Amino acid sequence: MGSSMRRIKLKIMLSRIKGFWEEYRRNRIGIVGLAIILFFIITAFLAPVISPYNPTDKGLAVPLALPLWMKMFPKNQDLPSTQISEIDFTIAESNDYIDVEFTNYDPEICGFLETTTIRDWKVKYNGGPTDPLEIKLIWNFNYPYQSPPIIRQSFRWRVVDIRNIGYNIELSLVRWGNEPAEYSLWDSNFKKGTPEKSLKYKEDYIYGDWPRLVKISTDYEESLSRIAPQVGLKEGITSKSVLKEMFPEKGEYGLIMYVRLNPKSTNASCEIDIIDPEYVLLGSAHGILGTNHEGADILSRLIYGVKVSLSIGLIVAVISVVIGTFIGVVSGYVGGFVDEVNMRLVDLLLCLPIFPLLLALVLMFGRDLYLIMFLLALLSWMGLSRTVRSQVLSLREMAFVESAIASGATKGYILVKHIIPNITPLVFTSMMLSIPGAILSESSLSFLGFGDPKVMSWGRIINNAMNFGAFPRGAWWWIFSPAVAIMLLSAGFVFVSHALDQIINPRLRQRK
Amino acid sequence: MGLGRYMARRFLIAFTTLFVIVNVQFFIFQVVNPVDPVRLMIGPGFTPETRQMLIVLYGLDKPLFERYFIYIKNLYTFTFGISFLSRRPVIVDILSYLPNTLYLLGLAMIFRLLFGIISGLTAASKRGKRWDVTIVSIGLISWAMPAFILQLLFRFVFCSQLKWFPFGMMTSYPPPTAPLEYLKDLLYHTALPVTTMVAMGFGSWAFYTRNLLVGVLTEDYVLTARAKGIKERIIVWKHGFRVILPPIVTMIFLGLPGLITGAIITEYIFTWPGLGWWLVHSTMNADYPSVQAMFFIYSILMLLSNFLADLTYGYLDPRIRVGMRR
Repeated sequence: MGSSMRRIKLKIMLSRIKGFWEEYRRNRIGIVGLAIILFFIITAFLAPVISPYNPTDKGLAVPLALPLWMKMFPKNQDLPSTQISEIDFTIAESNDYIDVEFTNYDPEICGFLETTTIRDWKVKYNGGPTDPLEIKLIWNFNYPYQSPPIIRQSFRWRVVDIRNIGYNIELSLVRWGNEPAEYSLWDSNFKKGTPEKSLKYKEDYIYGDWPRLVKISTDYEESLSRIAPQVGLKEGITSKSVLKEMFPEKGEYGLIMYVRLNPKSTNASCEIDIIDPEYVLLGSAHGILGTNHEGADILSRLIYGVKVSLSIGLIVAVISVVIGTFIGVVSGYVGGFVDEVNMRLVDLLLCLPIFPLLLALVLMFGRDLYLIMFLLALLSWMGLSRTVRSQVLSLREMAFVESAIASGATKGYILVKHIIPNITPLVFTSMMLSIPGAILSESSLSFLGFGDPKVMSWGRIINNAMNFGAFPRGAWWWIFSPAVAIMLLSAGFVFVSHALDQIINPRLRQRK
Repeated sequence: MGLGRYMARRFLIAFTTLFVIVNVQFFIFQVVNPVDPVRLMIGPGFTPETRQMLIVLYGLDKPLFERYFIYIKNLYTFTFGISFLSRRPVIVDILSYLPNTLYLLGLAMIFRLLFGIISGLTAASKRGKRWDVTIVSIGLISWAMPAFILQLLFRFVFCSQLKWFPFGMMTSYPPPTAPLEYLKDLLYHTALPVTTMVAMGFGSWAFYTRNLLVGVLTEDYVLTARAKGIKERIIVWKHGFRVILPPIVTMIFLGLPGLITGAIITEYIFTWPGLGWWLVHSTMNADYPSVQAMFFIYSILMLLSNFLADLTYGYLDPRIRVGMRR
């Protein structure tokens, strides 16, 4: 008997849900809202998979790089996009007395945290004539863009087993086009303030086993001061102006590495390792939504921000709805002194300037995401508790409650069976509305610079954009993509709550 | 007599609430507050003597009990003590920022109501037509869309890119001296913030007015009026607008606090030298005398607007007026 009762009840509930869904499905705004919310929820869960970069990665492209698809416009057609390549040298000039072998170093032995090298080189010399010797490694690449804003090269090198020999390593960039030219980027004897090629050999100190990291970048002053004289620039030396001279046209370019040895006696020997050579062109166009002032990918930050916003919205809404419903039901159902106290408390809280109070409290007790959630929940339940209370007050006087009382139902039974089911739709609709409220409050806080500095929320992206010059430099993708995301997400919830309201509220349902 | 007693009761409640709020504030800012304001005021190079001097100067060495009375006295005499940040009496700062905020908000409010109510009335009287649908959608959008998005957009397009409007502050620096020129300059600087505030606010007013009026226009007496052949315009104004005026006025007053706190972000975006901008600034710098003063003023404004809402509702709605007489 009991189980069949339960089965019937379940059937009724299922048909109710089905009926509700039938009605909801016809509400176009509601469906749009639901689709938006689902989209964001899926994004939040898949964030580590679909996000193209780690949100904390910096220097992925030039600061304030345009979105990649902006290259569709003819003006931006030739903007370089980021290129990161291994430098895959081949031997262009060898020497009988020098052994050049290709090795692949075990990153563990080198003590690197990570290497992605496909090619490392070992240059060996073990006795021979005492004339200066030279070998040449070359890597050619095609450069199909307008002149780049920043290029970087990096590699590690070390010298071991050195005996009676001077050495010099030099890296230079060569242009093969109509006017071939070669620019020396770095050499192992280079000291700041000696812009001319300083190709003296040296043996006075060795770096031992530990490979030294060389980073050459046209936005480092040291590298610039070396390259600028070679392109004939005397003033207005910036990475851009220098590279404009170096990359005047699209076409073939190359990187050349020279290893020069100067043995002082016949039993001289040495071993030079070139490890992990890498070439990076920082693009002026990057990703789907460009980069910020640190060259970080905005899309990735946006994708990771979904989780923050969604969880803030949901958690705050659930807590505040629970508090509000509880207080409202207790007030309305118990009445009397309890009601009076509760309603005075609500009045009092409603008279507090909530947003300024939030600012002050957040700054006092630390800018922590959980604290912000807690405070938001604690300061946003009042409106709902008022509505619930008045609803409960009117429900209490309804005929079905009276008949339940007459047939001997207890207060608790009435509360659970009659009152709560009747306020559930109201509570649910208002929860849907308080989610965007919480999201907006948090983003406003972060936007004013009161957000959790450890969390990359959407509001904080806008705050960064305002503070780091997105406006004067016209970086619309940086300002507006989080703004649009905030808007879209809150619109989703508002749409759903609007649709629910249309279905649940009988006064609105009549009009069509 | 009835109205007088009603007012007196409301006033008493408001005053009690204010007193409680003031106490809560004192508790938050001076009892549990873990931030040491003096530490933020002085640099690392300051000697302990300077520190002690500052503590004495701002009365932070006095016992809590005494500080409480000083605090109460400061608030209720509207002197508010001395700002940690500007080192001036707080009231001087407030008096220099408050008019700017009131000017901005007043202007925004007037235009919002004007556009909002007129378009709402039009929408309701043309229910179901294209105009109505447009108004409803704008209302929904401006409900869902945070105001700062439009403000960022306007600042970006019209200030930073097109440079049609100046950015920040109320006037050029130095402000023009001729009164007419000054007014022109002021309006030129006001245009953008006010436009954005109106654009973001008027939709919800239109929505609200429209929904109220739609409800009223289905009443029997409107049907009667229509049957008598009264012009639609007159029905809307005399039978419709008169009836929905009390809730609208109430909403105006109830919306005031939200308007004031909403202005914090507007002022921040357009660096408008108003109370909101100053509040963010002084909160950031732990300038508690100023923050307390602002809270006090905000609370008074809140209470005042609630009080006025009650009052006008009582006055405008004959049912309540009669009820009060009884």
